[in-house]
Amino acid sequence: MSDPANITLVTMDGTTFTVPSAYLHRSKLVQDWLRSEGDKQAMEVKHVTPFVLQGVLNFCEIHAEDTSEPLADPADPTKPFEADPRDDAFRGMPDDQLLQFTMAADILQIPELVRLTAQEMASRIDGKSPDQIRAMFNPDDLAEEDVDSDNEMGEVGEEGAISK
Amino acid sequence: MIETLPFDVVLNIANNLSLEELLAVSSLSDTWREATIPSLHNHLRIITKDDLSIPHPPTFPTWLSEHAWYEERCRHVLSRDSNWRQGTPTSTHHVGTGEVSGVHLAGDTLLVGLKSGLIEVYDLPRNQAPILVSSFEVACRNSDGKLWMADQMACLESERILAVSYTPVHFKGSLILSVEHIETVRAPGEYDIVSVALHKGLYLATGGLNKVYIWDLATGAKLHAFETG
Repeated sequence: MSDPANITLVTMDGTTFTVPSAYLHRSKLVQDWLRSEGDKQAMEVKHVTPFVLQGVLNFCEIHAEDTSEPLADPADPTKPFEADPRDDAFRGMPDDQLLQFTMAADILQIPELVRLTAQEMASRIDGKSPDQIRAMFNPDDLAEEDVDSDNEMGEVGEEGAISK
Repeated sequence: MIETLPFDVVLNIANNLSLEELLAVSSLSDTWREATIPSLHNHLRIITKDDLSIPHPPTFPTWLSEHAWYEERCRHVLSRDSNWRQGTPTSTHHVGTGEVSGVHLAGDTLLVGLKSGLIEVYDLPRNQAPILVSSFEVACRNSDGKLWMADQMACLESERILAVSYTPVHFKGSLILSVEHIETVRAPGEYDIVSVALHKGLYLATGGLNKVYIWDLATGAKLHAFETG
């Protein structure tokens, strides 16, 4: 039986993260899991690498004390996006990492992170051609020397496994 | 990897893109094309006026003209009295081996829809009588037994034709046709369509009461409906 004050998440390669449950109160995936299977030891987060999950949990920790009303729809036009200086890590990160965080936000169903990553993705697409966009976000096309540093993050979404 | 992003994710990204960016990313993959449609929809009035050049003289008057086409290079005028006719200042030729429901002129090719459910394809050599090149059956009946026939047509490419049936007493709807087979039913038929045109993958239709509809030809999704004039 897991401690209700904490929750343990397991990534695709078996790495575990134990954090206060309160961090994840905006994740619909986690909230659904707590309701239905909260008596289990740990929650598996498939298709998310330890590196990305750590980054997502950092985001959740930073925003754990936020009092803003949870965002029901990331595209809600009545709640315009405002850049938050606490999220600057997402603005500085490499394109392929941003893509992985974008997918992780979707998997964990955290509307605030979905909106942040989608907004950042959109700003990077600005003025690019389709080929340039493909090259930016597809690390497979990068030179071999980049592969080693990427290895610890693994590959996400291969064969479109995340797609519905 | 960006091509395989989930639909909902792309939807959210598209929501933050400008018109130019939407047009660029819509070619990334099927998911991107479909997920950018709602956002493109929001921009469509701008598309119709500037970016896609619709309406665009001299296309627009031709497209709207209900009963006559004039194709300068061929010097053919089509007009309708009891039947559709095709002629020059010096000669008149009948086209259609039966009662005609609709015609479409594209370069030297004339498509004639017949009430019997056939579409006839004519070649129009300059200053000569039209030559019947081929004809194919498009008749299909709805559950009431009413005949589907081509009232309006547009050339998708050389071998494929968009055909629309709008006659209220008949089976309404749109088909993509080829000589070999009826490929797909696309845009829905609950609209009063009097004229159709194709432009850059969009299917345009003018309807009664000055309505103009725009569908995405590839998906059949209705992108927009607005009033003209």
